[in-house]
Amino acid sequence: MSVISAHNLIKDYARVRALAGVTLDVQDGEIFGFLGPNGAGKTTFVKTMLGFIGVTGGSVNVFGQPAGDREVRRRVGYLPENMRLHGFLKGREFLDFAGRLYGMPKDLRRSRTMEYLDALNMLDAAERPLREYSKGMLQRIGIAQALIHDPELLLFDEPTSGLDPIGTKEVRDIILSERDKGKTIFINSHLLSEIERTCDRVAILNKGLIVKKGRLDELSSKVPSVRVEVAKTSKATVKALGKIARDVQVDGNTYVIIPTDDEAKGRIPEILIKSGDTMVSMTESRESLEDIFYRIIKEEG
Amino acid sequence: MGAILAICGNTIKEGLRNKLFYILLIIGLLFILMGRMCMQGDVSFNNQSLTDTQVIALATTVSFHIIIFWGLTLAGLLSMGAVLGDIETGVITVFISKPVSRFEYLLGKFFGVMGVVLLNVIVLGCGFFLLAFLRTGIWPFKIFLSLAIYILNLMLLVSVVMLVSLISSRIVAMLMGIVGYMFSVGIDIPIYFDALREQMTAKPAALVLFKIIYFAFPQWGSTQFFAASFLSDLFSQKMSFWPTIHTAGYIVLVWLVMVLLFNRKEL
Repeated sequence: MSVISAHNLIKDYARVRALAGVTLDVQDGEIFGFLGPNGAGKTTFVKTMLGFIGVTGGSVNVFGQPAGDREVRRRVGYLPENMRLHGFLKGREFLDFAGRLYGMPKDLRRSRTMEYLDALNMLDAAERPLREYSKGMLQRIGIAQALIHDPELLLFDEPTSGLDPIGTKEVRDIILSERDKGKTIFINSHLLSEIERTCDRVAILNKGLIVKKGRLDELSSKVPSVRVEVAKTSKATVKALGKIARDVQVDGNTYVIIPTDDEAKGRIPEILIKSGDTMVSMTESRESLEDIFYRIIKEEG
Repeated sequence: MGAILAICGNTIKEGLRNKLFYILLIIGLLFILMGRMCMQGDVSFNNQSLTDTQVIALATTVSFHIIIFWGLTLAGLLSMGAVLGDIETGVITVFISKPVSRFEYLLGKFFGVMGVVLLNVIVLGCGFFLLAFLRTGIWPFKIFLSLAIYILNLMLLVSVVMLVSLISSRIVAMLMGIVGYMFSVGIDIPIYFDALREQMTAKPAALVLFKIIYFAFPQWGSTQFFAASFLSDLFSQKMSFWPTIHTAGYIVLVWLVMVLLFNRKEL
């Protein structure tokens, strides 16, 4: 079942087209990563989902309801980018306030507040005003307010932004634990390593258009590159490998080969033996998300 | 309703944790104390000693205007950033990403600002009330009736400043509120007071134009004069209550525009 469904979504601002026909489906229970360079339209897309801004064309539905529907927002937890909060409130008060806005009863608010303050290692800061919080602490309290009503869908805009490595791991653990509870999680981020570690599927947005989407292995080049270390490289071997490869590079004593297909990949050892090369090692490497991202953005211009 | 109360409570908390509230309250109380000092000894007017009742009427009128001045100041200062501050900082996304309509958000903010302003007015009013009783043994209950009527003016000012802040800057919103209020007081004096209006010698066309402006513009001034008319004989006791209806209507009108505008605003 689609939790988020956008069809040909267009959003124009006065001087720029922020979304130029985004079509996207996010399935129930998955962690979906939304990637893109700054200004690609990621935050605009989230804002349309919550009804903060109107759309110029197309449509976006959440839980089958139009964007911004009040009942939809009851089922969504949202962490804004660069979380800013009322500095006069204490951490505990802020979470209680968020719970009140969701219509939660007092006892439940109290127990959930303490639960999330504990889970995010913020019990000590519960009675401190938010103006005294560091950026990382604000981010964590922002995540807690998004989770406090146990939503079915989490919309996280740059969730690990500003966090130290420990904080980043804590947030990652929370995301994975929420996924294990069956929640759908939509993450906007430009931190590729985080997306790679947590997301089931990703979409890459550039200039308001989705240029690629799918599982990470689907986005990678069809055939991984193969690195073969030999005792000594030769031009004859490069020529022989060239017949079964899209590209062959020599890097010291290593051939970096991109075979044309899986069958060609299987013939590499045979070619090396016939050429008289002494093979030391052979490894296969796929593109990382970072490689994919830069390649696609570069291709798209 | 729960969301409105939550936002209202949060706004009141914000106001009460702001030093501005206490600074204005202390200044207001100092002014009231100064008024109390003026009630010392015999008070005379035109070489005639005033009775305690007359002294109280005079002091109540002066104190009423002191209280509304500080009430208006606080109302303007709080309302100019009530919504705009949340928009500028992005805090508003925390509110409206929850199951809260924009109308509920505005109502919560409005009642929150009004709550803080009313607290200021009530504390100052009670301060005067006690001081006046200590001086004369008379309880000047009428000041609360006048302040209750005057709340309409505060509600309209807060609404106008909040509305203008949605389409301009804080300072412009505040200035619009102040200038609008002063303009209203200025234009209402010759029109609202029967005796003055009857003496006006302007050309009929000018008078018609004057009246059109009077009826088209918020009648803050007339509402203030009507509220003050309960306090002493300085004003005629037979002053029309219609400005209060006009002000109430204006509040509804401003809110209609504000809700329409805010619902269309991209955040």
